[in-house]
Amino acid sequence: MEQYKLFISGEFVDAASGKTFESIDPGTEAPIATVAQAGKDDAEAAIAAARKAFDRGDWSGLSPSARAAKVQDFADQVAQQGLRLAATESMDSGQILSLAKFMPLISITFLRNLSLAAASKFPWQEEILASGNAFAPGREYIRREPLGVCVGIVPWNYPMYIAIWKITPALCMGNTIVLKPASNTPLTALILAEAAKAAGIPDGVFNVITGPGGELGEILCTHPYVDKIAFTGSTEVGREIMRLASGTVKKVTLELGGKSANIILDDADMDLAVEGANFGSFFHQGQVCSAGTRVLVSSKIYDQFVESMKKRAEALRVGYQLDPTSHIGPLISKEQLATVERYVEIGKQEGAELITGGKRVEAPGISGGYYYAPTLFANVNNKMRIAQEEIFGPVASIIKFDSDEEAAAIANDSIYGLAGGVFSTNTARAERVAHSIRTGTMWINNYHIFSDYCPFGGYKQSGVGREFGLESLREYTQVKRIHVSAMADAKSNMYFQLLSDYKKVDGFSYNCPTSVAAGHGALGSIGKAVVDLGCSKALILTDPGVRKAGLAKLVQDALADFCVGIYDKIPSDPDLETVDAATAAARELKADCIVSVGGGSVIDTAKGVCVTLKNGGKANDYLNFLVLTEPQTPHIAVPTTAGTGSEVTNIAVLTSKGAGRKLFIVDPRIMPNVAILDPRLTLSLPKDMTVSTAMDAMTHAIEAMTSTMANHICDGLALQAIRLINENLPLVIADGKNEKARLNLQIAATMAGWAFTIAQVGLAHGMAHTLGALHHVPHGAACGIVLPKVMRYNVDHTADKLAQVARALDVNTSGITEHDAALAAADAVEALMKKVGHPMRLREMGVPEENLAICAFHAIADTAVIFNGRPVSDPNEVLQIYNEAY
Amino acid sequence: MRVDNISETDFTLEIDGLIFIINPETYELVGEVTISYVDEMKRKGFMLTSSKPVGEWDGFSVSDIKL
Repeated sequence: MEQYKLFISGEFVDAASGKTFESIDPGTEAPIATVAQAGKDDAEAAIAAARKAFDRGDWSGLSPSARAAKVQDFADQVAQQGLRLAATESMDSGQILSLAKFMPLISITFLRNLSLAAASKFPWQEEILASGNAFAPGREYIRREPLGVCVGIVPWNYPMYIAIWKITPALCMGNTIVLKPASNTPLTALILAEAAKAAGIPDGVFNVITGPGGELGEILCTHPYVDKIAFTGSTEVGREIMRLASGTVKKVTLELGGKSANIILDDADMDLAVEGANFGSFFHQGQVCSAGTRVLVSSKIYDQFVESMKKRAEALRVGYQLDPTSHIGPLISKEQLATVERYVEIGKQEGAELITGGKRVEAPGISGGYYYAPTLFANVNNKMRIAQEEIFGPVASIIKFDSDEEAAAIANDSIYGLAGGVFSTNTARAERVAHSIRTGTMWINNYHIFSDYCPFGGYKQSGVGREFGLESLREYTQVKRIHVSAMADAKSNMYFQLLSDYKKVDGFSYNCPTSVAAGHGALGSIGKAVVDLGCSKALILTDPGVRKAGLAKLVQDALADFCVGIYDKIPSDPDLETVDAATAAARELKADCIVSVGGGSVIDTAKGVCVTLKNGGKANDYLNFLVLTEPQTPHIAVPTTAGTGSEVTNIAVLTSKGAGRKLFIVDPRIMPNVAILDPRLTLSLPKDMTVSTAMDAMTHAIEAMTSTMANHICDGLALQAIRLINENLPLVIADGKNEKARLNLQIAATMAGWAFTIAQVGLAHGMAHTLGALHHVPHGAACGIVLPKVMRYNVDHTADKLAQVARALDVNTSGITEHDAALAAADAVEALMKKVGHPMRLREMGVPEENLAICAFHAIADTAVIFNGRPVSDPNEVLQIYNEAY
Repeated sequence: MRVDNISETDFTLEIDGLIFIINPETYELVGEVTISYVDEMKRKGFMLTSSKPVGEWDGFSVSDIKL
């Protein structure tokens, strides 16, 4: 008789105790081999060897492709042992030879397929292009790394194949493994060990210990060197393994019991359904976790089905597993035979109708063996024990149902959820039923189909985790995220500043890719811009006022054949629905380019459209910071105001009715590709809008200078913008047709836009956003009214910058303190506002005084306030400013 | 273990007011059964072992009483 030893650290060894046990052929009850019986010392030795091998790094440190090459060598050695493996598997486990002969083949393909997937498809390292954190820029990536020492515990029904399920992902992903096959069927695991040794798998990477789970289980599940346990077996044992593993928080995958429902709908092909139910119930003597041992049959075909199923079951030939004519072999052991007999008795006692089987049988020409006839119960109630408890033998229960919904309810009325089937000639119907069953696999018009790349595992108490496919490879790795800070500087770290009195952010990243064409007639460049963007179908977005002024037509004519339409339903305060409606129009016209013609509202709407058009869904899906990872639908902005700077900024401000305030899309990828500053489009801008939009730009520039994110590049842009506004706004008010002055205001607005899109704004904008959202005060007017008050509020923290602003506003600061110069800047802004007729007080804009308190609370929560030069957290301080502006 | 009805052929044993039953077929299979109670950090429940273990996981899992 053959003798098998343990395989530890690359050597075949006796058990430390010298104990052995016999492996029995269940078809004859005769012993076929003696096997070393491992005890706790052997388990310790195997775990130690696996730990040492992992830490040594000559397996875990290999590249995935180098490991794949070695696993393929292993597969070749398995092929060399193929005949021996098939015969041994059949004799040891009772698998009929016609099944066992495929085991080496599917094991080899599994090894090859999964090792290739691990080497070529598995995402070992992934860049995270949008981190989801706007306040900590940097490179983000994840690495997937091996877990360490894995324990694989294998059952007796498919000892070789399920061993391969455990060995393959463990090894391919760089782990080491201690495999414990079932004591009923230890032999093929040890032959696999021979193959591993012959293939040159390094010592200790693959170990096999054979012995009783009752003795070895605790140490395998609790040893601190073990990182993961992968178990296939009963739910009862699986629960205990999970419990023991929790003590050291081991990773666990469990593939446990099942009581799967095979659903036969009334339109099923009867021959196919009978064969499918027969195969699902009795394949491998029903000793399969995924067996469809509850056969649910539509009442419309019930009698016909039961009759056919009975005949089919009775035609199955029960015989010795090595007899090539046998369909059904022996059960694994006399204990399993007794369990099946006990359940058959229970079924009879519960009132189920035994229609065939229910008895032991003798295999022709064989003395002994654990053979049992394929057994069917009809008229089973799903509450019966034979319908709820896993029998793991050739016993199926046929249950009647009326509707598809009832079938699903019966199928789901189980603690298990491993697999199941649906037989129907209507695929859509079968899929609807399949989708409603809470189970890990559903086969339609088929059963027991396992495929290397298709995940397998259970819902509910059928298990945790998945085997097969990329899903299984993931189960044998862990994820490490690496963050590389973009700015290795404490004074540029907004998080560190939470524990610091230094609130400025010194470092910055300047990214403003918009191409700007500016000057009289610059609109003529739009056609080339469309071509350079690779587009051909431009949709103009505008508002009714701009359209009425004839400006949209100017742009339409400039676009010529590139223009596919004009959408003019954009209000002064766009919300998310505005964006969705404009996007729908763009989709209908198949626009590949958006041309915004208007003020900030139109341009911001267009930004939202570009994102939603590119990515699908609704505008509400994208209200976030720095989450876009690729270029959006091309956008050409043609501003008709000189204020928001939106033609070059990374922000779109949109009102959310749901949130009750303005929310933002913030991302460099929403900066328009092109901005065309043609002063002819601003000549008809009314005086009040000219003034308020210019004050919006002024507020951008001044707040960019005093922001905690201020920097020299943005300061330079802002100061020039302030100078240009100060000089040219009065000229435009005096003569609205002064094209040069109009152009200078446009350029100022763009420069201020560049400044604040990087350096951010502050409290004045937070307060203005709130006034806009709650009281529809035009944004520029709101900014202008509160700006000087906020400048005075900030003076002690930003005097140096405000003194520079004063000089840009033509204030003579020689001989006065920096503090006084800063205050003079606020005065100069107010003087400019009075000079050009800008509203000075909130009461002029219809804001109710009694609402100022609630405005203060909303303003504090505005994102812009984060960057204010003076920290703001007391709503009473903000209320005071509102009162001063009232 | 589960709560069950006594059938005619069952073996019974009364201990401290509780009646334990086992059917003859199971008794023939497993032999004498020992029921102990485990209360440890790692596990808590009834531990069933027998003189003729039915499977290699005998003595590994704890059991509740199914109603």
